[in-house]
Amino acid sequence: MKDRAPLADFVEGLFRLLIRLYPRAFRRRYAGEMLDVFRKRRRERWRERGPVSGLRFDARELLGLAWGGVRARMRGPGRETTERTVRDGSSVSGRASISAGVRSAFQDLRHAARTLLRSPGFTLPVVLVLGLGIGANTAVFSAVDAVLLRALPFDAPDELVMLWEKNPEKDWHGVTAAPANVLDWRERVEAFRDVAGYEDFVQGAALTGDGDPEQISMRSVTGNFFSVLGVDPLVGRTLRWEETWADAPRVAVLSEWFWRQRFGADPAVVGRSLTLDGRSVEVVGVVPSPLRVHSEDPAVWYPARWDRASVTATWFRRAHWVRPIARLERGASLEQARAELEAVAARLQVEYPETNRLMGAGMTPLHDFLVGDRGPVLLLLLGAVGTLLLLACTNVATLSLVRTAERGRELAVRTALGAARGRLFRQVLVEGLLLAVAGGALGVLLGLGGLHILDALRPPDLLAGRPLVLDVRVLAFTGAVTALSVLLFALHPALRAVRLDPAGSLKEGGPGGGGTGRGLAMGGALVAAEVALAVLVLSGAGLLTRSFLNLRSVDPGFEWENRIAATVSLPGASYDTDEAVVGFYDGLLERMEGLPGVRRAAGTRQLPLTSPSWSSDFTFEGWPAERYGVEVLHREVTSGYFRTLGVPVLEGRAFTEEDRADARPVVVINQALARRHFPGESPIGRRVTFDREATEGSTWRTVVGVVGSERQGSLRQEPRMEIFAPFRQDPATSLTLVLHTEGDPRGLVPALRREVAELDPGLPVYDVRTLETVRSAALARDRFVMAVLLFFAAVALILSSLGVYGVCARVARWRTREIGIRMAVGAGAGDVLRLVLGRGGVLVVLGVLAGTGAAAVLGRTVESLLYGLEPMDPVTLGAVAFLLGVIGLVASYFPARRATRTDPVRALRTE
Amino acid sequence: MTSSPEAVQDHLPLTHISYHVLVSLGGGPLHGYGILKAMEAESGGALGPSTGSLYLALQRMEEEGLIEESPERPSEDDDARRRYYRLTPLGRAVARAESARLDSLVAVAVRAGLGPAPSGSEGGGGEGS
Repeated sequence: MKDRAPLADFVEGLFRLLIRLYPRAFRRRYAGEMLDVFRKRRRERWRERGPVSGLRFDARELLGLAWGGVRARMRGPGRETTERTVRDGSSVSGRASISAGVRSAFQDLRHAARTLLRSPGFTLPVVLVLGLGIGANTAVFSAVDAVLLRALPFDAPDELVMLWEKNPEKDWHGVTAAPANVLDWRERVEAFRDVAGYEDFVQGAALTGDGDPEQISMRSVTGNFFSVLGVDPLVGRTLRWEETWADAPRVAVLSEWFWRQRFGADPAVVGRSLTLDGRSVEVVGVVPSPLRVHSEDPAVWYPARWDRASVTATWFRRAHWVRPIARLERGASLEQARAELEAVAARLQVEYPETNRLMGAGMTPLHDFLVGDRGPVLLLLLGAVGTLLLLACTNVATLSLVRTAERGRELAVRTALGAARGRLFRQVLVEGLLLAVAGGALGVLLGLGGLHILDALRPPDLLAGRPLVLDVRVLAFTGAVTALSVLLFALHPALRAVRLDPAGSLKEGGPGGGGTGRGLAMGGALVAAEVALAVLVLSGAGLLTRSFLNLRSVDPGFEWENRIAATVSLPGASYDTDEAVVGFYDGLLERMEGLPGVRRAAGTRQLPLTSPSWSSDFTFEGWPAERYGVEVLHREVTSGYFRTLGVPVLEGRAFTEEDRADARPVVVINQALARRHFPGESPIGRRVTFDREATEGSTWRTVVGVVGSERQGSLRQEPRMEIFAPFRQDPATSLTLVLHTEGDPRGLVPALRREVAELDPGLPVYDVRTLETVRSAALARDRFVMAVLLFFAAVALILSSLGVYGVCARVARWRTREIGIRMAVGAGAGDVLRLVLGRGGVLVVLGVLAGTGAAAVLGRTVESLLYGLEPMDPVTLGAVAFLLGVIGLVASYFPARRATRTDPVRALRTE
Repeated sequence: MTSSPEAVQDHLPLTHISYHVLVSLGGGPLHGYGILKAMEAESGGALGPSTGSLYLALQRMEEEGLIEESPERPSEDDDARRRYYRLTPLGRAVARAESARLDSLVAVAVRAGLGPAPSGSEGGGGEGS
């Protein structure tokens, strides 16, 4: 019962919308009352008869309301308004002709509406098809437009480029840059007016001393970040270049959303100081959000505060964590800038061989960079939606052709009887228009519903930070395309009626006939096309479904059931020694393990399946000088980590309580690393250092164990090499706790918060999530794309089977006489069945062949989205072909069966 | 508004909904929801017309002067937005005339052997007892 509120809102919303169909005077008098009555009856119905009867009631009411609206309009203006018109229209004679024109148009409209309502077998499917086509299209297009097509919220966004580094040796491409290199590019590349940078990761900070403590997100940027992007402050000012450095006063800029949420959009926040991680920071301004650089906007934009002294330090050129954005000099071309940047990078390779060996640089227009990896997904959706639109148009065409049979004859009769051709023409047009409008209205409703669904399903990284709204331009475009197709095919019979000699047209066919061989062939071609398009959409959906299932069965290398994680960060100001930090987390974990319902507790610097942040080169003791490994991930974990997450220890041991700061440095490596560098031998006892070449100052760490590999980045990505260090030997002020619980872990969250607060009431607990959620988030994008495509596939299936049905029914009717004769001369029901079925069968087979061919060719475009199967997957393609074949045959079977019941005598009399 | 016999005859035959609305208002003023409830009760619990159809009928009947908004309302109803409807003299006359018309129709049917079945004599309903 409690879940029904959104449905009630939705149905009532529809009711309100549909009331608009009624004339204004009517609405003014009755709308409020009607809604009141409807609500009351609805509530009663649902309560007394349950949901099935309730839903039936809803449908009946909404349809009745819509139908009533049409009737109210057809009835014409009410008495009151008529009187008024007469009263004040009497003196102006010119108005009479206008009102006559209006009346005649109104008559046309009324006539068209009646005609259409008289043949619901045609009208209903057309409106439905149009609504589905327009609705699905608008919803997905609106979503895609929000991400792909709309310009970035920056000044002259075409001048902005994202810079990155590449290194063939490390297999790097498009990676973050070292800050010292960025500063050199800023100085030396003439084609850049300015270069700004932001740090690749969002930091957390505790906001204290001003209401409840809160963990907020923070992104560090260079002082010129906003001026390079061309973003103006809403209040106050943005940052300045000098504030890039640590010797400037501590200042920060707030994001609009955070300003509204925490400070109620109070402009007086400028000049106030906040306590972030125990340090006082002055707020100098507010910038609009979303800025949408990378994922979500942080709450606070904070200057990088680099140390001026570190600019010349080696580490400032070795560590890569800055995303630089450059604004091109006016008139500078992309090619020119790229060439200059590459030249500068080449010079830096020579100047700093120690850090910049083989380090190249490149650039991508900012827009491409920001939407780049989402491109394939969105393009696939766009492709599917386009196909669906095409399918809808084809379908309307087919249905219209079926109607031509009847209309052609009717129009011919009326022309013969002396009806003005212009009037007939107009009437057909009005009918088409009415269909398009009805379809469009349904499309808007379905589009809104579709957006709701998309909004609920969207994964966090896709379409982030943007409310999805129905795009009116998109709606207009889709509506226009479909309306055009409706009109085109509505006009077809009218044109024929006007052009052809009426007598010829009358002679042509019997009742229910009037189709020509050519029209039939065209209908056939359309049906084959429909089936082909449906095969295409279904194959896409099938491939992505199988890919999703493959992905879901991937073992992430750790156990996720009954596990929950939460992050606790310590302010560096009050936890300023390693002992204090380790002491706090040790105490916290001990308290956690003591909680009822908790089996084990452990801590890690990062959870698997979330983008890993730290990697480095490494070398093992005894390796020749030129041998070293690259891109090994490293992570610090507490002693219970592997047990808590069910990661198996394959060799040696896991960390113990004894692996303390004063003990010998140890590490555990994962199987991926062991297999790659120690095939067939044991790595236990070997010593490793996180340097490419060991020097005097290198810290050697001894390998004491090998554990199973977790998937660190995503389910798609094979496990990477990883080295674990004990947290006690490498502590940090932020740790993610993982609890393994007896049952559903979510119930433990209050206890967890309580324990933290008892140890230190100023600490926020954040990023609370079950590992189930972590895993499911890793599947979110695939699930989303699959769900949308499956929905499309269902629609495509319905549309194409409608088409097949329509054409076969028409074949059966067109050949009524022929069938009658055949049966009169002794053909059996089986022969007739074969005749009609054969026709449908040929079309379906042709369509399936064409569609499968197209799917095989176009499959390449979705290759990057698939996991564990080829785009030419024979199982999927075969299953889709089979499914459509069966559905096509079923759709043609019914008209065929009806044809076998033809009474030969009546059929022959039809002349 | 005088209810001359011609004026009354102009409105016949009544639509199904109009007739039911008139009959339900026979007992005194009702609001929209009350009319629906009365109609459902009259038809033995079958679902009444959709809200849209009902109000379309109410509007037309108001225009034709068969019903009008009633200034008097039950004292226990405190919802001022709620509008009550009552029969006009014309509406009353039309309802009577329609009843008479239906009645004579039924008489014809009875003479043709198609009258309402006396309860229990048809359909084998008595076997159980």
